[in-house]
Amino acid sequence: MDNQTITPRQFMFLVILFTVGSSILIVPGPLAAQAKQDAWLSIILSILIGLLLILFYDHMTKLMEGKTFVQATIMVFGNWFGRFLLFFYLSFLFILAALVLRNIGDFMTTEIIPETPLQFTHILFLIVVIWGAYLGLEVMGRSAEIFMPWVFLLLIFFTITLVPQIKIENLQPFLGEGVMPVLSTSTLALGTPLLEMVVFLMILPYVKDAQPKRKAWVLGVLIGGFILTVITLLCLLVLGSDLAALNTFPSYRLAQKINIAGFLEGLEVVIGIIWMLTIFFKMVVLYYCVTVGIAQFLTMDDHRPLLLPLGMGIIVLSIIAYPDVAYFETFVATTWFPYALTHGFLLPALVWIGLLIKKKRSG
Amino acid sequence: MWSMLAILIIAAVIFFMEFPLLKKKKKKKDLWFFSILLVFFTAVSVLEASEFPLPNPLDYIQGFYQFFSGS
Amino acid sequence: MIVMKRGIFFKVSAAALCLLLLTGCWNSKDLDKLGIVVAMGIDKTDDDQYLLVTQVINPSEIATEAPTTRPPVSTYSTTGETIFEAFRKLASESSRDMYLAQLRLLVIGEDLAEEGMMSSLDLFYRDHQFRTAFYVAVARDTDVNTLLSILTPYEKIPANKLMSAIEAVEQSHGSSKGVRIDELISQIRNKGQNPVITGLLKEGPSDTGNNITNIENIDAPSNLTIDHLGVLKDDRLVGWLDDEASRGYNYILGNVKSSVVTHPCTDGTASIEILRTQSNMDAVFKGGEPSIAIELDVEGNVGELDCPIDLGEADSLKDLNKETEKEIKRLMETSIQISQDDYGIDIFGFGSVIHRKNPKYWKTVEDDWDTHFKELDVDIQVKAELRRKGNSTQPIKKEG
Repeated sequence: MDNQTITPRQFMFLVILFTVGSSILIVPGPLAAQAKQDAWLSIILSILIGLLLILFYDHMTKLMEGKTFVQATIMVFGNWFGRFLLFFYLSFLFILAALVLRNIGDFMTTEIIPETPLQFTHILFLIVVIWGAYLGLEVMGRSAEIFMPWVFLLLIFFTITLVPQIKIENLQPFLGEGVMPVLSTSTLALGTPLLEMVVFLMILPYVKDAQPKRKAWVLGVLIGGFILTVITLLCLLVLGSDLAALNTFPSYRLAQKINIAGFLEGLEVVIGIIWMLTIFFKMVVLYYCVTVGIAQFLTMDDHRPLLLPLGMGIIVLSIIAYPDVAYFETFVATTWFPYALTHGFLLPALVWIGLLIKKKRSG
Repeated sequence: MWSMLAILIIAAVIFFMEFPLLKKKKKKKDLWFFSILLVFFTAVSVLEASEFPLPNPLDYIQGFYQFFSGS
Repeated sequence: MIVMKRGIFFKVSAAALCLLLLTGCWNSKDLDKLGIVVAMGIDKTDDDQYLLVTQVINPSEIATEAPTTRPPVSTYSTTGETIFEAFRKLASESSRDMYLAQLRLLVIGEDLAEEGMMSSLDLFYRDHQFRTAFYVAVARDTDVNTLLSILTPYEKIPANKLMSAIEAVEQSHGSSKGVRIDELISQIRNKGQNPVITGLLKEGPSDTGNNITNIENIDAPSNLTIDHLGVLKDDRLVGWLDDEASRGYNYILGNVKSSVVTHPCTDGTASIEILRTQSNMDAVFKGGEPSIAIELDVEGNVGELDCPIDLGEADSLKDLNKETEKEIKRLMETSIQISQDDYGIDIFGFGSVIHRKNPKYWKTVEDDWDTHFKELDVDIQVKAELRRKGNSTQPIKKEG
């Protein structure tokens, strides 16, 4: 593309925002439903497994020698089989982008503007995303730097204001249901957001300096994972696992509970800025990578002409993706993890093996 | 009806935003892919607006993985 | 820079887009078209429909500097198959759209509460407009409509008066407790604890409360007061605790921030002002059978003395400590006894304590916890510490 690059620091911020975005809304509820008061352990566990995944991705980037995942796959498997694999990879990213868009749409229509049609929320949100993807990676990286302090400040404010309402006994009994629920639900947090990190294989070649890349990535996932753990812990500590599971968006319900001395309340929409910003960055990273990926797939010179037509497609897909919330819940609970595992691990692993063989032969 | 018209207008706006630029730069291939995708997704949008039951890719994905999990 | 290259067409369309999109919301509602709901009441009518009473602020009356004789709030009552339906019927009664985020209080009729309130609470937890910060209470011995129609002196908005009264009673006397909706729902769903609920009472004749003349009197003939706690089995109201049992309940759960303990002493009474309490509940397993141990630390001052004791003596404060401990322990025991013997319902969350301590044992008793609760031993330790005597070193007596 147009040779834009970002610094490792900006990359780390993008990783943090990507990890938190949309997971902050949709992860704590189902997690609390299954792992009860131990839900936070599942998140920590999945972050630890996720770190291994990140090391794998990082090793892969070294083998790709400055090529994006799309270019590398075509290089390894040739024009036809490579493109066959990439079709699935790109469709995975495309569907993921549509689902993330639907997450913010569902959130807005449930909690804030219920009478506005879903399409309009999606269109408005996507216009900003398209603009971001249009301006390119540098702008995305810099705006991540600008917004990161706000996200952090709001998160700190959110946490501190909720501390008085914490009931520590909500976490007991520790491992009361045994270890199994913790293990089985950690797949949920592994599917969203960790396996989705595969999208960064499209961005990593544009990050400056070879050396601190891994550090930035690992640190980003750790910080993002820490934020997710804290939010889940707060959901459990303040609402209790039962109410956390009962709520569609427990973290938003949490924000509604902020009450400082009886006069500073009703801050949930201010806190909602966290979800908007993080989901925006998740969306813009995904959308950028999808269009760049498709452009490279079609060997086009520029990804920008594709942004608007694909935007129309993503809006349609985000509307038809699921008819109702119940469909989404079963999809996330049953299908998303194997789907994300296939495209986030198996497919890259295949390419990784190919890269290794190729390296052996040439070297 | 109105929504379909709106989609067509948006598609036209998109076309005239990108077309002159691509033409000026003489990027024939880009122009073709751009036009094909635009026509395709405009058609999809119009179908969606006319409440035509579009196939949902998620159904296929779910069916595929359920086939493997044996349920 | 990239935008620049796009030329005039791009700029114009971007500007047009901004003009179109930045104008406002899809369904904006102006403030002067909204009715701000501060309290709602629900009950069942005789023909099995839901009755919904809505108390709405009359803004021109609240904000004005020259009050007229119009009441500061209005109430509307509607009926419907469901609460939501009744709510939508409000439109035909009131000219305004109802704004619900300021809701302070939800009052449930006694009949509906006895029948089970969970299904009625659903809407109030589900709808996006409601916050979770409102109290739920039961109207005792009055119907919801009368209760919400009473105008209160001093505080213009009755719902605000009730809300602050609930908080005041909870904090300075401990004979009742405010229950917020999310707390109530989570306790109803919790197998190890049954909820309690605040009772609301109306004082005075029923026909004067809804008239503005009610608050033109110096002592308003009709008024609203906070009653003691109602006991719920799951979501059904089964009875009420009296004053002592309610205070005992709050002591056990450590809810008391400040209260007063009065006990007889030679030739009179002594009142102790409680400043802070700290309660600690734990489950103890002996031979596989659980029992509950409650430790309560109380700190207080001498509040009022009219008995001849010599506060100068070192032991006199210790005696007062003992008496206070005895009295508080009596309250707590009363409370436990009533809930074990009269109702057979665990309102203290002893079940949850056992669950946290020993999840394996809890699994075996979970489903008929209430029968186990009746047999449960509870050991209470109260430790009172009176630190100061107030301004007087001795009881003030007639003879010097």
